[in-house]
Order: sequence, then C-alpha cells, then structure tokens
Amino acid sequence: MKACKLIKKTVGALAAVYAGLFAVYYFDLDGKLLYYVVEPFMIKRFDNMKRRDPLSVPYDQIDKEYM
Amino acid sequence: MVISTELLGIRNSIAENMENKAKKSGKVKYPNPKFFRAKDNMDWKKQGENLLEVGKICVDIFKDSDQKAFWKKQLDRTIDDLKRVKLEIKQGIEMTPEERKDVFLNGEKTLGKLYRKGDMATVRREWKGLADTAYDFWEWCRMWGMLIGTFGKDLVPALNTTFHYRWMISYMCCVGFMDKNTFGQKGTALKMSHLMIYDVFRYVAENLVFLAKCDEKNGNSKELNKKVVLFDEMTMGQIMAGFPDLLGIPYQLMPVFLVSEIDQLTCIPYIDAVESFGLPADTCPVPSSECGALVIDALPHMGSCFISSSMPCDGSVMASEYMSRRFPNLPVYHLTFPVRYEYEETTADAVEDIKGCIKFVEEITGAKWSWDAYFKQMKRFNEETNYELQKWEVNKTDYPQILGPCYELFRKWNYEMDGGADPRVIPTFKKTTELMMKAYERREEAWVGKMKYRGIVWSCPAHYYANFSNWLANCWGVDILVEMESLNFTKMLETEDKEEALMDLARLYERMVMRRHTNGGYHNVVNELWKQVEDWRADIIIMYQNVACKNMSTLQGILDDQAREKNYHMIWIEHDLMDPRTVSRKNMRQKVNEYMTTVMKATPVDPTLVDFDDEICM
Repeated sequence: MKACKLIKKTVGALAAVYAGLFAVYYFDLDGKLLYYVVEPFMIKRFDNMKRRDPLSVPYDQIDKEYM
Repeated sequence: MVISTELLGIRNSIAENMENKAKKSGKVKYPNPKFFRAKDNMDWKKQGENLLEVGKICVDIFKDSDQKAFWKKQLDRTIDDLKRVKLEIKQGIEMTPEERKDVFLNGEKTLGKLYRKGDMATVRREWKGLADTAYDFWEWCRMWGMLIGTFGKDLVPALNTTFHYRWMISYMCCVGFMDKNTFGQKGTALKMSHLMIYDVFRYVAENLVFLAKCDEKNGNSKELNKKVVLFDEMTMGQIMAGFPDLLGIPYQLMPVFLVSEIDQLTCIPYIDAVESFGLPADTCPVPSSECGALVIDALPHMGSCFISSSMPCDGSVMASEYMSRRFPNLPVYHLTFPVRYEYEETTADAVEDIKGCIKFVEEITGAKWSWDAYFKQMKRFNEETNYELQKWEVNKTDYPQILGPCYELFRKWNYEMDGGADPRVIPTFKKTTELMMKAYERREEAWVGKMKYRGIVWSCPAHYYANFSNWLANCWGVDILVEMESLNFTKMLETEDKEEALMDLARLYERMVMRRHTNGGYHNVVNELWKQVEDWRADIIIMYQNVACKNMSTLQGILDDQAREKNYHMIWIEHDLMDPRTVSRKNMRQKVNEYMTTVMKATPVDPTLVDFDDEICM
C-alpha cells in the first residue's frame, strides 16, 4: 500500500515537473526572463563599470606591463 | 573551507585514478578533465567589490526604474498574449476537424505571428506537431542540462565572468538562438539540426569555462594559463593536434565573433569604442569589434602565447596588432601564408612558417610536438571529411536533406575550430549520416511542403545574424544547399609521411574558411561560383555584399555582368555583418521580397514572414 502511494506521489511529482518545464519551454519563459529581466539589469552593470582608459596611460608605461 | 578543500582533493584524486585507468584502456576524455580542475587563484577582495557593486546596481535599478511603466509594459504584454491565445482558439474552432488534426499532428503553418514588435523574445515557441514538439522540448531540456552541467564544473569564475563581460550575457540567450535556427524544421531535419548544434554549443560552453578560469580578472588560474595557447579566431586549430597536453583557444571567437551570431546587438559598443578612437566606420565589423573589445577591456587577459595570422585578410592583421599592443607581455607568432595558394611552389614557404610556429609553441610552453597525436587527430579529421562529402552528395540530388543554419555552423566549426580534436563529434557524424540516408530513402523534406527553389550562398555570409537561410526557406521556399564557406579543402590529409603531412597542413590552412574564396583572386571567387552553381544545380544565388569588404566589392560588377550573361538569378543582399545599424535585417529581407515578387513572380509560402519587425531582436 505504502509503495503504491509512493509510486503515485513520485509519478505525480514527475508529472508536475514535466508540466512546469513544458510551460516554461512552450511560452518561452526562459527567453522572457533573460531578455526582460536579466539582460537590462546586466547592461546597466556593464555600462556603469569602470574601465581602463587607454588615453590616460602615460607613454612611458606602454610596452612595459599589462595595464 | 578546510573541509571543502579536503573534499575537493578527494574528488580530484578519485577523478585522476579514473582517468589513468581510462588512459590505459585507450579511452581518453576530451577536453582533458585536468584543465577543469586546474586551481583558480581568484582575487576574492576584488570579486567581493564586484559583487557589492552588483548589489548596489540592483538597489539603484529598483529605485530608479519607473515601476509603473514596467508593470504597465508587462500588463500590455499579458493582454496581448491573451488576445493572441483568444485568436488562436478562434482560428482553431473555425478549422475543419481534418485541419485541426493536421495542425495538432504536423504543426502550425504560419510563423510570423511568433514575433512581436519591440520584443526580443518570441511570443511563444513554435508548435511543430505533437511528436516534433515533444522532441524539441527534450532537446531544450538537454541543452539547458548541458549548459548548467558545464558551467557547474567551475561555477564561481564563470559567474564572475558573467558579471564582468557584456558578451557573456548574450550566451545565456543561446537557447533562443537554437530555436531560431530550427524554425520550421520538422522530422529528421529537426533531429539532425539538434544533434549538430548541440556539439557546437558544448564546445562553446566548455571554452567559456576555460576563458573564465584563465582570465586574470576572474579565475586567474596560473596553472591552466601555462597550458593555454591562444590563436586568432580566424586561424584554424589543427596545429594544436600535435600538442595534446596543451589547450588551444580561438581567442576572440567566444567574446566577439560567435556571440555576434547569437546576438547581433552585442558588438555595437565595441564598434563604437574603436570608431570613437578614429577607426573609419567603413572597416569590416569583425576586426573592428575585436579591436573595440580591446579598447574597452572586454577581452580576457590570459594565455601563454598568441598565434596570429594574416588570414583571411588584412583585417586580421589589424586586430593582431591591437592585440599585441594591448598585451605587450604576451609572445606573438604571426602565421603569414602565401596568398597565391594554388601555386604549389609556395607551399614549401608555408611549411617553413608552420615549423617556425611549432618551435615557438615548444619554446614558450615547454611542450613537445607529438607526431602520434597529430596523426591520430588527422585520421579522425579525414573521417569527418568523408562524412561531409556524403552530405554534399545527398544535397546535390533532387532530394537534399541536411539543410539550415545548424548544419552550416557545424560545418564551419568542425572544419575551422574542432578539426578532429573532439572524439565525441564522430558519433554525431555517424548518427547524422544514418538519419540523412534514411530520410533520403523516404524522400523527406527539411521544411515540409516549403521546398521550391535550390539556392546557393556566396560571399561573406550574413545569414546567421539575420537567420537568413532559415527565413528564405520558411518564407519563400528557397533552400540553401550549400554556402561558400563550407566549400573548403576536402583532400584527405597525410597521416604517415611527416614532411608531406606538413605540406598538407599548409594547404589546409591556406584554404581556411573565407580565405579560399575571397582571397587569392578572381579565379577563386568568380569562376569557382559558376562551377559550384552547375555542380549543385542552383536556381538562385544569394549574393551577400558585406558593404565593408573591399576585396569583394572590387568584383561586384564582374559578378553582375557574368550572372546576367549566364542567365542566373542572383540576389544581392547588402549587410554589415554584426552592425545592423548600417543595413537592418528587415532591409536585407526586403531585397529578397522585391526580387521574388518582381522578377520571379513568386508567391510566398508563408505570407506572415514577408514583413515583420525584429529590429531589436537577436
């Protein structure tokens, strides 16, 4: 009896996971999350990053080391 | 921390034992698992500062963003989605039971409705029919599983890299790129496309982890950096076959070139950066992007040395010069093969260049060239070339089978980057060939009911950016049988005589992707085109015109005149590779639309794809 219940629960859980994943796949929810939430946030991060300015490097430092 | 280090040590020693056993039995894993296990030397303080900054940006975004506008946009999208669902239900009700059954089993017929103006993502994924949608879903799961599993091999540097480089974020959208490349494909064609693109993505994911591990700003693995030989993305990887203990990485491939094919908008900041420094805007966007990425520090600082080349054109020379100035401590070897490659007397010069390169790598890394390893890989590469030739034979018949961007990308990657290095690719070739032959016997169609014209692609191709060959098939029934960049060196490489093997390697390098045709003169690109059109019995030539390619622009009038004399349908499509601001994808499609309606008097097989907005799509 217990085994039967366990099997039913496992099958139910697997079916729920399958249905959930299929919904993500079919409605392109992975793409929507990445394009509408993750990417705009990350772009802001990249735009704000401090980057090396090659024009501010003194001439005598060139060819000496990684700047 | 101590416990985790202990556990890592136990895991590594178990893995090493297993590898030694596998090595004895002749089963060697690829890529070398030791590369993944090389110790990282992260600057935790800097990474902490990075994370803090990311946190601050999160808070700023939340504070600065117009919450009302954001939720209104989401609401509008949801309302639009519901309207679409309603419309699709209505269309379903209006269908006859036979039509409904056909859509359920064989998939939808119109694909333009999956795009929405101003949206990056599709409204939903394509319904390909019951069995094919189930298969596509399985492949979607498999792809995400592979990506998570691969990045999980060294997650922290990979995550740090995602926070550090703009291009990394576009790779997260690679599953959407896979969808685009299989748009409209069903049955065996869909299976073959998934099999091939999976291998390419796996290679990319693994190399992204290596980039993250090596980069001084992220993983900073000194141990791995000693083994890494960087080469220009336009230089073939086969020379690394003789150094099985080293890791060859096409340096700019991941941060610039390949990512631009996934997301055409990625490289724009790099192009702008280098143009703001004075580079003319009519320069080819490939080297421009590479240089721009260096200007704004978007390339990892890594590797023991760099092999640059003059291939396929002077654009690579420009990018290599930027590279060596940006990283002056990185030793560089320039491979400069003779351009007139059909003159056999020049091959000996190229061999000397290869010998010099081998010596350079040996001196820098301390590794020794292994002829056994080289011959082993070249035997595999020859086997792959044999499989490739079988594909060409089938595609030349009236029932071409293996078509579309996945195949085109796979061929290019296999020829140029993999070159027989990865033994896991052979089963893909075998399986694909088996599927192809069965589909050929059944006379299947890659795009069912949509195959009207036989097409060939010529000149610097832009079809990945615009998903062009797939769109051509879905919208107008033009099936691209082969592209110029696939038609390279197919001679079996020497695998016994050492001197002759080097001659063959030189011949192979001289005929690398693009170089074989767009360099070396009129004969290689003009006469060769007419020969290929005859061989493949093409009805239409899709002639891409990279507005920045000076080599090809010199031949435009000649190609035009001769095509007219020979009575070929040649459609010129202007583009600017990874810069869609010069020529948009919509404008590229419009050139075909005009030709098909005015000259060919054709009607589209899917009218919903004739005109749609994808200006900000990938």
